[in-house]
Amino acid sequence: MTAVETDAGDATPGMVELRSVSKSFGQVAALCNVSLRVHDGEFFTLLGPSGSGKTTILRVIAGLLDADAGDVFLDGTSMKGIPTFERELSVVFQSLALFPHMSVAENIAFPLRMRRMRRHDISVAVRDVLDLMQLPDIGHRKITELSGGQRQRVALARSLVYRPRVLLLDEPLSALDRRLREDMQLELTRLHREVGVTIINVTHDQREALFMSDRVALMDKGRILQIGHGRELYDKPASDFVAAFMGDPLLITGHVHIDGADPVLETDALRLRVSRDAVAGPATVVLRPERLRVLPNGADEAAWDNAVRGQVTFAAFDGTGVFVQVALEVGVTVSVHTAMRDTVDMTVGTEVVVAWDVEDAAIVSQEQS
Amino acid sequence: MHSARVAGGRPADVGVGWRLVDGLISLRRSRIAVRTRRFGPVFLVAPGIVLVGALAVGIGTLVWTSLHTYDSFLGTTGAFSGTEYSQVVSSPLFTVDLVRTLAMGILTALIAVGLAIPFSLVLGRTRRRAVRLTLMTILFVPYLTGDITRTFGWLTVLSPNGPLVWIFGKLGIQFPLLIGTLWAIGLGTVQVVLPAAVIILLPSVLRLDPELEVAAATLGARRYRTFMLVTLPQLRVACFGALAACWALGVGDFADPQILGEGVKDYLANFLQDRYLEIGDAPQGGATALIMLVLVTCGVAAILALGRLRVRRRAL
Repeated sequence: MTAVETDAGDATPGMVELRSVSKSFGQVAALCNVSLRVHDGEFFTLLGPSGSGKTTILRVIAGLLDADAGDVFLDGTSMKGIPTFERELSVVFQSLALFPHMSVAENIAFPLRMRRMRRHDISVAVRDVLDLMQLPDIGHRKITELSGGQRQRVALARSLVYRPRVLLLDEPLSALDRRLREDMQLELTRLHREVGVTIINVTHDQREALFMSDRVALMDKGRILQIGHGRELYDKPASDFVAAFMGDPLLITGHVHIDGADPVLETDALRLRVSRDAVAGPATVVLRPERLRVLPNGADEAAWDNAVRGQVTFAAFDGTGVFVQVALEVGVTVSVHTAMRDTVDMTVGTEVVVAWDVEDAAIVSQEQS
Repeated sequence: MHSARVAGGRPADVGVGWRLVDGLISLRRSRIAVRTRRFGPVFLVAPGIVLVGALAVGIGTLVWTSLHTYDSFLGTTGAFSGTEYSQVVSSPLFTVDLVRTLAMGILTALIAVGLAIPFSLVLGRTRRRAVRLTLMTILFVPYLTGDITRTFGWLTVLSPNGPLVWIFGKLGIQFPLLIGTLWAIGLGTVQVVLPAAVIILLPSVLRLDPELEVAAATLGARRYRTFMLVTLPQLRVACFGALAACWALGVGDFADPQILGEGVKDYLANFLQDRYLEIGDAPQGGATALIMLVLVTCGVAAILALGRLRVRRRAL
């Protein structure tokens, strides 16, 4: 499979560009012929499961790893032979890597000291970035005296204080609890908007990727499977893997027939109306929990493009709505997330109808993927 | 027929063996046993305490002996006095040996710690088992061969007919004769204190987070500055600990100045031996030993205190 580049035809030089980069660790191929382009000021996310190669890309860009083949360009300049400390980029690691023997201010001043800035200028820059991070009056504190959220902000402040060309984020939010992680996601998007730095973020959390990024590259086994805006990956997945990774959908594989104007996907047990974009041939319908509706048995099924009967096997309130699992009469179980205002009886064992319109279900052509 | 029962629930007519078992169980449950159990750890460390305590007794005896006058001709102890100390301190030989010992103690400790830092970093971070094993062997074999054997080894290596002189001679370079100089003594002392420095540094090296050095590089630090500003400060306390240990071992060195110094570059330990065995003045030997003890202790305390001082940086 080759990398899918949505902007392959774009002639604008990228702030960061990878051209046919490969990297192996012994017999294991971590990156296979990866090409991508990140634009100036873009918030770009590398998304994928563990071992997909996203951190390896980050390390190759930072110069912490040498690529076996291919090249990395920063602002149009090849980075071959240029050591990490001369690349003018910054990395926020998962562990944050704050220097424990230095105070907050000393940590933030570190990159400025490396650039031999004057003491007064350092002092002003540190104060400014602490204000930007909404962390005034903690410059004198030790790193061990900070909370998890404050450490995140200090690590970001240290990375932004010298205005790097690119900020690389190596899953820095993954160790935080959900509430703090969501706060930091908001904080990062605010900072990106205010500072305008190019950000390449690595994460395995698809929600984080969709929430923060201008564009997302979904990776697996050292390859980029699809690059695009979050909505694009969500609505028009290029493969079953992309469809399955972006959410928790039910994938129904069948064969698309074009009968007149309306394409239909047929399986052994089902006949579903699908999007008009669908092309004839083997395909997969992607049913996402948040795009389906649960109707009471006997509801007007004709009002929907597709309606399949089933029985509730599990239902639980999750704070934002009700998560329901319905065993469809065709032998598969589908997950549905219903809104709180829905008043359908979700008691386990209740006969219901799961319904959706064609625009609510993505379709992946097997030949295309 | 039911047999009568004792308080513990066992029939009254059971044998002596069972009664003994009952007695032991009662004893185990008794308050005395509970109290004794509390002191269990004390019993375990008692042999160690006795062994170290013997040193305290020895020091006490030295103090007692050194604080009395002594007639070395008659071999008799006299009245309580500080004469032995004043005699030792006023000896010109003592002053020379004292200055040499202290200066060499500091110098060899600094050199040993300087060598131990890169050694322990490589030893702690290498992924190759063969490298680790080789470094361990290089480090500890001289330490385990025994002081006299090791020092005589140096004597052979540095002697006018030794391999070093021969190799340099073949290269057309006249190798200086080091035997009888402070160079030879310094070499021997550094070799013997180096393992102690590495042992003290190694746990701190293993605790270092390698990601901090990577982070420093991404923030623009070259290797040297990363080492000086990130790695070394984190080893600071361990470095001072190693320095204190090397100082204590170096100041107390006897074999190197005795054998490699050929008796012409004595340390305080050699001076002490002269007082004891050559002159036969045990109280003066005792006084020397106690002066050494105070010097070593004060030196160790000063070095450790220095290590704990927070470096004051100008506020940013």
